[in-house]
Amino acid sequence: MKLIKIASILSMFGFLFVANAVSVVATNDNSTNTNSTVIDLNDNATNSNSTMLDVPKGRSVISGDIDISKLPDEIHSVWIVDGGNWKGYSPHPIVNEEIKESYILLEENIPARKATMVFAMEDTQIEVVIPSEPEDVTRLYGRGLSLHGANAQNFSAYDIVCSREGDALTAAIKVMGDVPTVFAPEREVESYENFINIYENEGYFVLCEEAKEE
Amino acid sequence: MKKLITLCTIFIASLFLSSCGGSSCSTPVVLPAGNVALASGSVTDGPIYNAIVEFYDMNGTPLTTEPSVVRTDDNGSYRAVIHNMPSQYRVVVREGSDSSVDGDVNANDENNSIILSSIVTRDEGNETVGNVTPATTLVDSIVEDGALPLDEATDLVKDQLVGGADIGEDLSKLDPKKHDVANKLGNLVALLTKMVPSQDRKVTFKAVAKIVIKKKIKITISNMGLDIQELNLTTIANEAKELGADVSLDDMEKIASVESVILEQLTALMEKIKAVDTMSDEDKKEALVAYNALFELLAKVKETNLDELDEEALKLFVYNLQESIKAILDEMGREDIGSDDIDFVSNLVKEHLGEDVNDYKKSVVKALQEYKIVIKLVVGDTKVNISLKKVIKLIYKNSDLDALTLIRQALGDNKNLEELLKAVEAMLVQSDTPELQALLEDLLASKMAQTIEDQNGSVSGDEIANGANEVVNNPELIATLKVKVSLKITIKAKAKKEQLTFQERMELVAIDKVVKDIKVNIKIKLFTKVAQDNAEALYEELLKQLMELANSDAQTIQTQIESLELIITNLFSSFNAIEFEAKFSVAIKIVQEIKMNTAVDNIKTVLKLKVVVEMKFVTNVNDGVVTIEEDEVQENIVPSKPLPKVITLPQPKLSTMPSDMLTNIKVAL
Repeated sequence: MKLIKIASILSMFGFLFVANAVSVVATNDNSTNTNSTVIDLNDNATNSNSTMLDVPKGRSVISGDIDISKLPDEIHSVWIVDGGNWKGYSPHPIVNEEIKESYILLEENIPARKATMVFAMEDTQIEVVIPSEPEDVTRLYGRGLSLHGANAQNFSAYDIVCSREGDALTAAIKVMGDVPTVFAPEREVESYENFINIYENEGYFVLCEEAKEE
Repeated sequence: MKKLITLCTIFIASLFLSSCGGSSCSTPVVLPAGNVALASGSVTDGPIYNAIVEFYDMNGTPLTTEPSVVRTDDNGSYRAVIHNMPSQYRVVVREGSDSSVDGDVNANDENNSIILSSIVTRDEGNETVGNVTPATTLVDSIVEDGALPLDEATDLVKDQLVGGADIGEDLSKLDPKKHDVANKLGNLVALLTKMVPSQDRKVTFKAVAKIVIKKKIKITISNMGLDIQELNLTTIANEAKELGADVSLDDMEKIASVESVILEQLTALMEKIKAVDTMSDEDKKEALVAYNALFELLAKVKETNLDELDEEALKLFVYNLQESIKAILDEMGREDIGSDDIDFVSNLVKEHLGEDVNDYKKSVVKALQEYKIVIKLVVGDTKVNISLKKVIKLIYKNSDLDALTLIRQALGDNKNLEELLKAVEAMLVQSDTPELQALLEDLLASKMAQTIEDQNGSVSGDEIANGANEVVNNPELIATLKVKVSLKITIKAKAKKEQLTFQERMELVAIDKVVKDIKVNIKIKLFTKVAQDNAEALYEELLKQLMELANSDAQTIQTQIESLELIITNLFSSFNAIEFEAKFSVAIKIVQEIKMNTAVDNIKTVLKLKVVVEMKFVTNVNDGVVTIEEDEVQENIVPSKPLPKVITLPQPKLSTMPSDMLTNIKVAL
């Protein structure tokens, strides 16, 4: 009996995604005409400060000013962490209903200082603005795992310093299309691509832990 | 006229109830205005199904409901029509079954042992939602004791346990099956009450309520997990003790000494716990693994002597246990795995901690599958069969990893099982305390495992009977064990009331060591009067040696106790104290060297050497003396291989997300 229930729920959502896929086609058809000039001028972007960021299918963590009203239909939802809580927004009203039930619905555009976790159902592009004068923020890397946006700055992962005295950086992790890449101070982590630099449009996780005594 | 209204009400209510059957019904219901209203909600620790739900006004008078007995459905939801629904009422839930952290009805469910409650404020309209969770029970507990009014009690719980997350004004209105933070909060409260070493959950709830009122706890729960700023488990235990709970001081001291490991596992578990409606199968499995690991960890802490507790060993135990449980869930699924199976796995892991978990977890899965086949032959619920099951489980525990598959071969024979059953019946006659019974079960199982290994699985009923007789019908052995068990019971009883002296702690260590040596000795020979005298001499000498540590630091004491793992005394030839002292000195030196060698894994190396020493003793006991040579240590040193640290990246989860995005991304560092 339980199996039947689960199957029917799954098939319901299967239908939802088919419906979304159809609406994607329609939306794209419309947008091609209205935005054609912009596409010519700025490689698909709709704003002179903006850029179209390739977002692969899966989960990715990015950073940039994001106008949530311009998210393409291939995006299931975008999320930020605010005050310890997940806040999310989706271009699909039915998903927003579920976000309201379980999390907090994001009602404002996302600033570049926040990392944005993107759930993409297909490869797509998101319009982001990399601010030329980003907000002045003090980055605090508390104990445990935290999520940050590059905030329009390029910098080395070696510059990440844990805020709490006695803590040390265990790792910084970026994710693009469900694939993590890793920075761990003074060592190579097997099985993953290792990085050193964090770029202006990237988001990243930071894990700070109590430093082990040598 | 009044009768007619009542009949109509019943009719409408029955229509409604029969057409809904759970929380999924969203059909609007028109109920007669005024004094009849619908109450609904969910009962969640894990969802609690088939529980009795009662309704009271705030003076404790039962409210009239339809149906008269309300029970939760499979999802833990309830619905009832209430007459004269007051503006505020109390929902009390008892009995039923807890579908655990995975939220599904299956073998790992537990009987609900606590009374949960919630103070519910009537909603506008005909239907009032009142969810019941450990968190609402905590709020009720604070209100019931007259400490604070409802809104202040709720604010206090949110301030001290949730931190900044916005979860609304009224906890009873949040459905934890859909709301991550509410679900985490409920689970956290339940876990805290379960972590106090006392059976009385009502008192432990009150103890948690007290530390919340006194603001001696500060935790932030978010969708990301748990951040503990202030949490002291012994403070909760102390409150419980003051409220009359039977909490042993010894247990409290043990928890305090390894609290960091326990809290680390609690944090890891809280990260895995999600609102049931948003959990993927993988999430459910992970939550179950972390949940079982936490409680097996607590059980291990409880059964280990204070001076033998080692944080690194406990971490290794948790890691190996998690990997093993994961392996059985991958292979066998969540539906068929119950607490008996987890106990089986935990036993095997404890015994083979020195091995590489990646090598032995397949053996664990195979052994569990075969154990379940053997147990099917031992059906029934009599006391004897319960003991027989335990002995069979312990045979697996005491067997060499390579020999695990031989056990079914040996016990699949009904004649052998009959002989084993006779031995268990004889053992029950000898056991005048549960402690002695548990010890005899382990010794009998150890002897059986050795008999099966020696015969390569092709053991006869007579061989089983002879081996078992040497243990359970042996007056010298039983007499020795009774003395040691009796002393242990006396000391443990004292530990409930007051702090143990150093001598008493060392007596516990010495008793355990003597019993361990007896266990290895009787694998190969009959325990005689000579062995009995030698065991007593060994105990005296051990105690003398350990008492010399009275002024040493904890680390030195722990090293010396660990060193005892590398010595087995031959109880069949006369005991020589000088020889024992010399062997003990060598063992201490070896353990010290291992600990100083940063290139090796200390814990695994000592545990592996212990196995080497035992094997050497069992195969060469006729040589009389077991020595530990340094070259042997070098050969068996385990290369340093730190446990991989696996980071689970947090993320939100919705049922509308593609299924492959519901499993968290993990990074192994």
